[in-house]
This record gives sequence, structure tokens and C-alpha cells, in this order.
Amino acid sequence: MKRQETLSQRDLELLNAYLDNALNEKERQHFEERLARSLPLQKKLKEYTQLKVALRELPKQQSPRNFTLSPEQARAYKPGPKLYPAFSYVALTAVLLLAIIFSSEFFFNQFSTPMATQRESPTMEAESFAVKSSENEPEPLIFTWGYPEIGGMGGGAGGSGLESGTTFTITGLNQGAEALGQDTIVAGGGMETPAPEVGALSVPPEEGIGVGEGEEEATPSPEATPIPTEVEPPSLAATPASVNVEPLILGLQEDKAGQIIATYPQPSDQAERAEPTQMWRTLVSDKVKIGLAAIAALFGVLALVFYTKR
Amino acid sequence: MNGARLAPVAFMTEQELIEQALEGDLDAFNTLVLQYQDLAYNVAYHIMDDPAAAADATQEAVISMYRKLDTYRGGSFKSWFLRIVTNACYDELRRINRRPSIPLQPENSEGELIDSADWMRDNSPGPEQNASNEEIQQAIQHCLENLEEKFRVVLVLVDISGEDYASVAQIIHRPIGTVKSRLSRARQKMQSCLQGFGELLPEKFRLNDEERS
Repeated sequence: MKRQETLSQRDLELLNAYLDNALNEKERQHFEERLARSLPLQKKLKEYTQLKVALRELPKQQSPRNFTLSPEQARAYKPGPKLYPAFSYVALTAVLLLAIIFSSEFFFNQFSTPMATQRESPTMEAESFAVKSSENEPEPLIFTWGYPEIGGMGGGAGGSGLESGTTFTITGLNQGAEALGQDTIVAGGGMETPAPEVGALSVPPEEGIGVGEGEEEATPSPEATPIPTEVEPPSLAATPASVNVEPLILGLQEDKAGQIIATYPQPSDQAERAEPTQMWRTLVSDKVKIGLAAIAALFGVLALVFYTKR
Repeated sequence: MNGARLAPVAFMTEQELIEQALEGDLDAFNTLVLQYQDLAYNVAYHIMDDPAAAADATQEAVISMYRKLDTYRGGSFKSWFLRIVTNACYDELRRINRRPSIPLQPENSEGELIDSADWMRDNSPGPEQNASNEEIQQAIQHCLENLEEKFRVVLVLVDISGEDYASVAQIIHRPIGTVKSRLSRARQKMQSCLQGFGELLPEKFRLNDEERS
């Protein structure tokens, strides 16, 4: 018994293409050869041919009326100005401006960084010079004893402040910048010592250091002897052993008591360095960038909507 | 004045008419409409299966053509216009489907759906052959209506409008392979649907038991 041939979807597509004369010469010859051997294909071709003829013979529907446009309709349906080109131009302009801003920022950052380094380099050189000179020609370190809140009270006046339980710090003037960073040096009492190891000295409040009434009183008690900090400044560590370490106390200049000698870092200097970059990036560019990005997105979407609905 | 202006456009080629219409010549545009309106309405009628809806779709297509004429970029103007027509039919079908007012399936006087196709039988007296042809046409139109839109459009364009595969691909904006596939499916479904009419159809549309197995 001969097995019934089944037609695949591909066979039916070929059959339809053959029926609609959509095969090329080679495909048509190949299909006709197969058609001659296949009864299912022949039956299906007959069915589809009848269907095609029946569809073709459906009566042609005549238009119930003319669909031409009157001048009034033409005016009413006249295509308006096309908005999508304008929207797309606006979006494109915004994108271009964004690109310009981003590229400007890139070049600004590229060229502004070396300039900042150049501005800082003289300071660094000056510091290193100071270190070198201290190595070659050791000078006594000057410490300013004082307490900002009790500054100006002079010798012995620190008693009340010290009794309040707070500790204060004696800071060497030639310490690293981080040690001096935020402190205000006050000429509240003076003690000069050549001890290079001293970076910071903490004094218990009970000790009550009075300075200014006499050399002996101004000398720190044994308990108040400056204790080297754990981390010694490199410049001090490099001090030669031959340096005369005999204390040199210059005493207190009473007329300077309570006056601010200097503050570190210099606020005006920092602001001068930081302001131009910060102003340009945050106050101008960010707002403009956000606005331009919003415009580009909004008009881009509008252009797309009007383009698809045209 | 219009008559004097219409005389020259009557002898223009299609391309000349398009160029004139693009320059704002309404007579040239209307001449194009007159050339294609029967084709457009015929396609719309077989897609919509409703004369009023087909007329609406055709009118919408003409208006759309008027507004989009500047987007025509050459090629077959007929295919370009038929694409607008089929899109208008899709829009009209969507609009009708959103607000269906007529049941898609026939109902009897008690409001029950009729399963068989007897509702299409025309009992009016007349020549037997005419009745048979009308029944075939009604059956075909019924089966067309039951096809999915994507299959119906391809079948109408190929078998009723006589478009080739390439034109249909351009009209429905799909590859030729999709056209072939959809056409094959459409004819299979039509054949299956017509077989359901049984004795209503002439013998050539019927399959015997051996063929069905």
C-alpha cells in the first residue's frame, strides 16, 4: 500500500507561488516535475485554482459616489506646516550645545590641572628650602604658648582657664601644615625652646602654666616637659646631633598678648584657588546641561511623534 | 473654469498628474482620485465587508493621500495609494471594533447565534444558476470576513485586486516571504471555511470523504 504523501507548509507556499506565477523559471520547472508525480499536490492545485477563480469572479464593487475633494475640502485638509523638522532642529541644536559643553569641560580640565600644579609649586619649593636651611643652620624652634580662649590674660592668667578641665595644645610653628592647619596661634604666653623633637605638647589642666612673671615660673614643670609626638616631622628628625639644644626663652612680649599672629591655611588663598573651577562647573554648566538635555529629549520625542503622525 | 482646466489633465500621464497635484493643482489630484477610487473602494469593500464602512475608509484614504502626497517618493503610485487604503481600513476596523453595533455572528429571532450558514441562503425565487452564484459569492464573502485581517488583506490584494507579491509586500510593508506565508495560510483557511458550506456550494468546491482523509 502506497503511503499517503503529506504536504508541508513550504510545499503549499510553493504551490501558491506557482499558481500566482511568482516562481522563476528554474523553480517552476522543478515544481512541475514534482507536481507530475504528486497526487496531493495536484488536488491542492485544483482546489486553489477554483478558489482563485471564484475570488476573481466576485463582482467588482463600483464606488457609490466620487471621492474627489472640493476646493473647500482641499482648503480644510490642506497640510499644515510640518512641525517635526523644526522640533528635530531644536533637539539637534540642544544636543550639539551639550556636546560643545562637554568637550569644553574636557579641555578645561585637561589644561586647568597643570596650571594649578604650577601655582602650588613655589610654595612647595619654599617649604623644602626651609627644611634644608633648618638642617644646615639649626635655629631654635619657637613655640607659642597660648590658649585661644584665654589669650591675653598674660602670665598666671591661665589658671582659671586651665581649671575648667580643658586641655590645650602647644604647637610648633614649623610643624607640618596639617598640625597647624586649623589652629589660630595666639600670643597668650611665650616660651621658646630649641627642642626640635617637640611637635605638640599637652598640658594637664591642673598644672596651671603661668608665663611672664619670671623665668623660673615660665619654665615648664617636669610634668609639662614637651613630649615628642609619635610622628616626628621629617625636618626635625634630620636635625644634626651637634645642634645646641640649650633652651632659649625669649619671653613674652606683653604688647602682643592676645593678638592673632596668623591663621592657617590662608582662607583668601584657598578661595582664590577654588573659586574659578567651582563657579564654572556648578553654577553655570550643570544647570545649562540639565536644561539642554531636557530640551533635547522633549523636542526629540515631539519630532518623533509628529514624524510618525504625518 | 474647472471644465476648461480638467481637459488638459485628462491627457496627462500619471507622473505628470502627481507633479501637478504636488504643485497644488486640485484638478490633477482629483483626476488621480477618479482613476483609483473604484480600485480603492473595491479593496476596502472586501476588507470591510460593509459598503458604508468601505466608503468611509476610501474617503479617509483620499484625504490622507492629499495630505501625504509630498511623501510619495516614486515607484508604483498604485501600491503607494493601496497602502494608504489598507491603513485606512485597519483604522476603520479598529474604530468599529471599539464600538461594535452589529453582531458579527448571525442571530435568530430569539437572539441565539446561528451555527450553520443557512442564514445566508437566499430563498427568493429566481434562476437556479443565479441563486447558486450568489450563494457562492455570499459564502466567499462570509469566509473572507472570518479571516484574520492580516490574511484577508493579502488575499484581497492578490486574488481580488490582482497585485503581485512584490506590490503586496510594499503595500503591507512586509517582506515577500511574509506575503507568501500569509497567502498560503489564507487560502488554507478559505478552503476549510468553504468546505463547511457543504451542499450549498457547487461540487467543485466540495471535497469527498476520501479527499478529506
